[in-house]
Amino acid sequence: MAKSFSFNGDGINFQSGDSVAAALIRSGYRALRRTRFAGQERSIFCGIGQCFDCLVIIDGKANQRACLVPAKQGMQVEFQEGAGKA
Amino acid sequence: MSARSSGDSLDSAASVNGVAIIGAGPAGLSALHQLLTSSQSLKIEMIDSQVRIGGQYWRHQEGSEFPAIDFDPRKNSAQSHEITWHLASTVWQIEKLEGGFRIHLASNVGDVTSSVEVEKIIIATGASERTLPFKNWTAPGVMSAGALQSLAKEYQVIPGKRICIVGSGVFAMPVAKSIKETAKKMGTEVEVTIIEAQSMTRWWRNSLAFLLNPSKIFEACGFLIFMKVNGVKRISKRMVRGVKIEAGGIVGLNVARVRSDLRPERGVEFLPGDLVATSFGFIPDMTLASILGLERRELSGDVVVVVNANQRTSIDGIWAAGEITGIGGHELAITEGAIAARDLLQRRSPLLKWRRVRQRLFTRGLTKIYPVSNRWVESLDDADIVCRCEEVTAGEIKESAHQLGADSARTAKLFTRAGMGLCQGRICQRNVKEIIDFVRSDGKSASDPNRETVRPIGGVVTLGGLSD
Repeated sequence: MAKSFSFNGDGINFQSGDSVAAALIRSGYRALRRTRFAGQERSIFCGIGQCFDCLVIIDGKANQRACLVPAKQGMQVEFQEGAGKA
Repeated sequence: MSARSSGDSLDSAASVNGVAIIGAGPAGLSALHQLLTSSQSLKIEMIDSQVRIGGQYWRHQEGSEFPAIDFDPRKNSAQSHEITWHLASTVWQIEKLEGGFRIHLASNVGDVTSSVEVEKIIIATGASERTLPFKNWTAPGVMSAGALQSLAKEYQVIPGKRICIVGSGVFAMPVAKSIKETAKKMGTEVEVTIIEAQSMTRWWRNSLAFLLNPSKIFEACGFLIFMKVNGVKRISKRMVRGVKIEAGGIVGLNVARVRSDLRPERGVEFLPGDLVATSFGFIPDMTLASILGLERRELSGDVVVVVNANQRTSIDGIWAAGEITGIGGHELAITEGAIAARDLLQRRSPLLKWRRVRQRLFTRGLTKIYPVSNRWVESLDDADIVCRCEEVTAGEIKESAHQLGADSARTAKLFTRAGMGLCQGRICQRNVKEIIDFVRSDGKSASDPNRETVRPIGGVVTLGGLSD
């Protein structure tokens, strides 16, 4: 059984050791969020947790760095709009 | 003056009540390696913000053999020492205590905090990549060369079919190699092009440094042969002006011919590609060094920690090693980490110090081959974003200098919010500084190495985490 989490409801398979960002990019996704002001799409940039560009909502918690958070079975990951709050 | 034993290995560090090594990259692991040879039983706190040890240089796949120096600290933790690993932990504050330090840690999510008390600290926080802004560099599919390497090497992900690595410096070569190797393993095809701002012939300027470090000649030849054999294309004396995007995403990039000071010449050429990685050298991560108030200085444009011959900093009980004392690569970092730890154990390191001289000569030579002068600013359009977090454009930053009198990255931040976002200027501060320096017609900038990089809190901490 492949391990998977969801991204906006889509099933994303991941390998052990994957970060959330790595699994998403392997599955062909790029944009992970839209910015607060200009509404620009953003993705992973620095890859080491410094730039905060790969922010996503994980299990309801906004502003999580997809490049740092290890992928876990059943995780619910969402594209983040702006600051991630309604 | 520091107390110093005359013997070779007195280990009178008997009273050491705990050593923290902050940063588990080449410098930190090399320091650990030395500490483990101490006949005294030591309590060692190893702290790193990443999930796996190795730093940026030894990024590796989970569960794979650790390709480190000549030891794997996970297997080699001698029984007599007590090592505590704090991985995925960010140091957000360090307090000075009577005869020691209290180090405050937060999880990467920022909501769980803890602290450790130690008597001595070896700080080896390393460096992050330097990137320069250009049109559409914020688009998904543009990333730092380090991010690209980590995807390929650590996660076996090849994020494009036609990858362009733009920038300046030697780092593009190992990144290109990682991509090609991973692609081969996975049986996929990938095209890789390196677009380098400087001319290859500048290597002759470093011939003395090469002669003192003959292994580097073989390393360089190895890369060149690999690239030839694996069809990695190289284009020199060109710099990226912008990324071209169509409905389906990135289709390529515009590059301009540049002089060695990165001043662009007129006209652009189009290169096709679907993923752009960029790298213009490295910037020391000075966050904790500034929080500690370690004395700093400027070294070839970087702010670095001042250390003495034994890697001691301006504060008693704190040593610094690796990139934060001057960008120098992993080999120099290993040497410096070892010298620092040996000094902590009151051992001498004459041979290591000679090695450090040779290695420093080499890396100083590299900075001469790949200088990043602030003339790159001429490549920037006013509408291009410089501060990614707060979405501040080059035009706004220039205006803050022209109209409002901003004379440093710090004052520009107050006017424009550039550097005020979540990354706290880690990506843009240096670029903002250079834009200000470039546009100030009086040529004066008020940049001060002991002020510019100060961030009061070293990482993300939630208020909830603090109150617990």
